[in-house]
Amino acid sequence: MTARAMRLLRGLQDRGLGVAFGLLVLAGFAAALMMRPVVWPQGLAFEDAQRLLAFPSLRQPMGTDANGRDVLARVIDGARYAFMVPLAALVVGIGLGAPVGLAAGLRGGWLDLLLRRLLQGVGLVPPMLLAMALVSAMGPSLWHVVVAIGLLQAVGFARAMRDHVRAMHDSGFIEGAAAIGSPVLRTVMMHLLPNTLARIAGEIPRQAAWALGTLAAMGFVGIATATSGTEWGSMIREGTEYLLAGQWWAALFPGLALLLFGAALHTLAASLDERLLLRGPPGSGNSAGGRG
Amino acid sequence: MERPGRFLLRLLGLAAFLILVLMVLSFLLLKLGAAPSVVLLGGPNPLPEEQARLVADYGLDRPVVVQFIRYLIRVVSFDFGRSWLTAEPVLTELLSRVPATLELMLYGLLAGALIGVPVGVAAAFARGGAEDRAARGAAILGEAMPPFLLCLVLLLVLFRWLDLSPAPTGRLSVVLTPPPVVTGSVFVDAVLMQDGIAARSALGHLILPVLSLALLVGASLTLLVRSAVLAQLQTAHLAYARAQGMSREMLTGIVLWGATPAILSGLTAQTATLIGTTALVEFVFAWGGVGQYGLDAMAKADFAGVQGFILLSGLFALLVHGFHGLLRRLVGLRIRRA
Repeated sequence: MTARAMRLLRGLQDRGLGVAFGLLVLAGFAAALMMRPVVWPQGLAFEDAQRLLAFPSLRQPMGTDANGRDVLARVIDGARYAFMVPLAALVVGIGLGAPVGLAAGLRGGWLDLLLRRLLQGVGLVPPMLLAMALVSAMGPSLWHVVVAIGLLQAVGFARAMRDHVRAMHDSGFIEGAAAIGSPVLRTVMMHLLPNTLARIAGEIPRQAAWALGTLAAMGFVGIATATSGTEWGSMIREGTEYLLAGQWWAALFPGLALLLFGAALHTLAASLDERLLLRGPPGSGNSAGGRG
Repeated sequence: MERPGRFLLRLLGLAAFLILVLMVLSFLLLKLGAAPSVVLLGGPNPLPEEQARLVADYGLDRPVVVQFIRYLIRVVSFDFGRSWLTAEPVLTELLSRVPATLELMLYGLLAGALIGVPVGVAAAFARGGAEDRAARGAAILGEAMPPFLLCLVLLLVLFRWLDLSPAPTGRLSVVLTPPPVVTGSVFVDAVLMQDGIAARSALGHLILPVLSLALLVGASLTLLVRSAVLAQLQTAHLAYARAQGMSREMLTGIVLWGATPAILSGLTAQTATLIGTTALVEFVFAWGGVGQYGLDAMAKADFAGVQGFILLSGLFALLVHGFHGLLRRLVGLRIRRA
């Protein structure tokens, strides 16, 4: 490869190759989702008793599952859950978490300390397990899955928001705004929120990826039975038995879709982080590590 | 720095508060239930006398505050209730499964560190280069990888296709009798009993679960080590060392030493939530550990089991964080004296 081509490639990367990849994958899933009823008019429930666990072929590129259903059509349909659940959960998570974190960060004092300790206690339990336990308690409906995932995200957003608001508070411009007589609400809307949104932008796709993984884990373990059907985790659960017997396609293709979707979100998060870090004040990143 | 006594007191006070929060949380789980608590604790069709016993034991006919206080007293006196699935005390069941989980986590963490630390250091030194990009790409893939999917892929390739590893039947081949429990690690127990066949089987059954966990841990550890080492490389004393023409090996040593606190912090956060990942790995391999027990309890709404599992994983995280806090304090003391 010539030096010029290398430079071009590097430039593309700086200009957001990661963002492009992420958005392209998501757009691809969305387009496939819209095309599905056209390409497979007979519907997802169509079972071809003559073709049970058929090996991938030109006619059925991902083969058929143990009930003779087309795996590709079902994988594409599963994208509905991958879009819907993390998005809805984000609304719950930001809607609940951000105001709480904002209040604690602005007010400081005992309220802040109490909230911090409470969140610390809740944060001891791996969030995926806690979300699963919540769904197991509330019942396996899709709505409960969204609420459970959203609640756990609210914990994360409240923490991130609180830390960030505190950091900005310490930097003095909130005090400054108050000194020139700016009302609190105006300070929050004009100064705090725009600053904060830029800082937590990378957190949003990362949380969506976490939501997707948690949803799939619930489906795989068999906790969220209401999403069983075309949700990828539950498709993998159904296909596991056959995968271990060597008929891998019914479980592996939904798995690959899950991985691709998750990787797209993670790449988006990583590129957003990098681009925002270039602009923002140094040393105030707050993304905590850790899986689960 | 505050005096050691005060420090310990503060740490214990915080721990006590956090344990209280955990207990409120696991109590709330039961109260958030769609089904009545009697059903969640006693199963879908509890016998009338069983139902009466639960109501009396938990005070289910009393106000919620009374119920909570009773729950607190039970938990503090190490009574986690009985699972309706197995009719066994939950705490006994959990504790008997702890060694299996700890064994898996320990090996997974060690092997994960063997992957993550060298790769992370190499990536940081080659920042922006091909190695760095490859390492980062692999790490992002690992972060996006659902744990159970990785397990299944490894099983497909190494068990089904290449026949290099045994079937996912837990910690030992199903045809063998497990050695008597001494340490709780089937492999070590088999070696102690001088049972070569069982030892070999146990070792074989360890390979894939440990490899899965190690790859997952290694991926996030790579990113962690990379950013910690990068931060070190940007310090003035490292720039000076480099300008002096210090060898790569010595530089690596200095950088790693300096990056250790940051790496330990990240590793602590990761270990504290590792039980979630481990649970999924255990679930696929039928490992018979705490995690699999918890997930099974959740799937069947066996709530005494769910509450016990949630409490236990919270306590585990608390221990990990507490240990890290003590370690930092000790290292801090040493730096001050030096």
